[in-house]
Amino acid sequence: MQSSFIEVKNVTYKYDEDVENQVAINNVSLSIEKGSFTVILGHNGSGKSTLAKLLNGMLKPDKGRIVIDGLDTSKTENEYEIRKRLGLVFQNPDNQIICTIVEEDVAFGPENLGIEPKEIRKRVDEALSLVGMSDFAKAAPHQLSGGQKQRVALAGILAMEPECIVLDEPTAMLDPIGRKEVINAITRLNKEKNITVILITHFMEEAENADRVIIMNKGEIVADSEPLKVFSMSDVLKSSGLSLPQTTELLTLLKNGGLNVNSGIISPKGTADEIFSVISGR
Amino acid sequence: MSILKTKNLSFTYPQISSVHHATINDISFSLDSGETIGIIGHTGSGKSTLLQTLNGLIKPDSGMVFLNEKDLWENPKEIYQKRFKVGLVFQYPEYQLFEETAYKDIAYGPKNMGLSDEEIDLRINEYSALLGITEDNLNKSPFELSGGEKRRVALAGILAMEPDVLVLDEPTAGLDPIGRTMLFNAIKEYQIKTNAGVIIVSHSMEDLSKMCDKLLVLSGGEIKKFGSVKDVFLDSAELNNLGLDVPMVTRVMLELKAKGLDIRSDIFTVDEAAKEILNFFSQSL
Ligand SMILES: Nc1ncnc2c1ncn2[C@@H]1O[C@H](COP(=O)(O)OP(=O)(O)OP(=O)(O)O)[C@@H](O)[C@H]1O
Ligand SMILES: Nc1ncnc2c1ncn2[C@@H]1O[C@H](COP(=O)(O)OP(=O)(O)OP(=O)(O)O)[C@@H](O)[C@H]1O
Ligand SMILES: [Mg+2]
Ligand SMILES: [Mg+2]
Repeated sequence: MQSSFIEVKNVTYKYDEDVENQVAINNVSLSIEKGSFTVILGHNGSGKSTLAKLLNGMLKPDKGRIVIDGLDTSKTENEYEIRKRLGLVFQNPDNQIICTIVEEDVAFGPENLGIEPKEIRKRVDEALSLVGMSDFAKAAPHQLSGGQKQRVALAGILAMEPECIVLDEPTAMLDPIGRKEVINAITRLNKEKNITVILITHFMEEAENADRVIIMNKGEIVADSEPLKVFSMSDVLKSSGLSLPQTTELLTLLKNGGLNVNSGIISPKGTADEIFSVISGR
Repeated sequence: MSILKTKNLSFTYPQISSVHHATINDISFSLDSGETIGIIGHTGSGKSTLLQTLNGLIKPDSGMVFLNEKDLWENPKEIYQKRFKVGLVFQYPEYQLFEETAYKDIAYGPKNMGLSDEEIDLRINEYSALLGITEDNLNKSPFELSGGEKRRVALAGILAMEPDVLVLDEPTAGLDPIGRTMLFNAIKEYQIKTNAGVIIVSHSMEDLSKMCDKLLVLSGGEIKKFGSVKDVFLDSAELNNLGLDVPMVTRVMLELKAKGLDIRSDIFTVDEAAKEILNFFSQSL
């Protein structure tokens, strides 16, 4: 019986067979419910991208097992069905964008799924509009700015309409408003269409809407809980090389300074509300 | 003294990617030795294009770039040498990494400058340590590095050329907090040692407020504002219109002010904000 959408059981992965001490993923177990929103944080080289590639079957576990919607990723015959269900947006859009025209590139995924042309047209237009790139449909990818490429790569996966999307730092090159737009779009897909989301990021504040936050450290999961709980684990954060968003940091300083505020808040507005209500005597 | 200056710089890509004009238009600004300027602007506003005119990767259609008061293009055959003086770190580190090992990648620039192997080795060790690149990773192929590890190697490769002007295109994107702090410190240390001018493009208003003397705001390829960090962050509504924002803690202060508290909002760091709020609280008791 499989109750969750993703089951990762005691998975270990090593890039280089020969090197004894270098394990990219070390005995990781994890299960992800359908329709949930999970954020993964962790230092550079902690294994986030490796885990993402293990989930979509690009890499196969050396030890342990990964099952996506009942399909074992180490069986080659499952590859196609897994890609259909789980879409991975790569950390570097250049690794993903292959066609010479933006709209063809976005259509590439759905075409491979055997979707009919009329439906593809509709999905491509919708996906490009969702990421704000409709004006660039006919452009060549090499003519795009860094952030524009990142948006197109995201559109390519959205157009496949997978049940689960894994996003590897999708907002790293976006301006602040663009970042909010993309996070909002992803959150809407999760809430309205029940799409399972796994978001890898270095921006803690993007974890605000998540059901769950996972922290990776040297190939292992060292924390896994709801956002506010994880953000209050200052020892784990510190030993994992992470730092709090400015807002949480500010609230912590105020608390230490004698102001009786709740320090587990992330949004600037929520932070201001909390400070205001304490200052004005609740 | 101005180390890098642009005058009425304009450029349009020969093939335009969309209905929007792919240009930078009439850009004039000046960077002093030892100074750090941050460039902010929405996606597609022309930041990377502007940076590439500064080291001669793109030749402007009109206008001029001056390096140490001399026309960058005075002798087009020597433009290659100018790239040792104006070191540009690309937005995607992959564009810069192609050697067999990370070590060789960092050595690439210094080698082309004609430095001795001994000097190169010294520099690689120095800048790798400064950016937290491990011995293990120096021996790996750049393709075997994680995103943030690649970025560190790309940065080290440019620092190792010890350029007069350091031009960084979103250098903190993909770096973890420790990597970001190391980068800030590396740049500061480098600036103290060499008095280099630094230009940083970034979408992190938090990072820029820590690092920069001045900010330049680009929109649609034009300069919308150029001034001190304080001046630029003062107009948060205008920044929002341009797809940008103020640092998170400034946003908190603005919200508090909007609620009617008589509190300062020209604050960009957490420490300052905490001080101001605690101060306000103790006075209102
Ligand atoms: N193709 C590869 N060959 C060998 N080692 C690799 C390869 N890709 C990654 N590694 C190593 O595996 C470890 C985990 O890398 P991974 O890319 O999963 O990290 P990450 O958490 O995504 O980091 P970042 O935040 O920098 O993107 C790192 O030590 C990295 O050097
Ligand atoms: N090679 C090219 N040919 C044609 N147009 C281009 C080319 N490179 C960039 N452009 C266009 O020029 C504009 C400016 O691009 P640029 O890369 O300078 O933006 P940017 O400010 O760095 O954006 P980002 O924050 O997304 O990196 C964009 O609209 C882009 O589509
Ligand atoms: Mg990664
Ligand atoms: Mg750019």
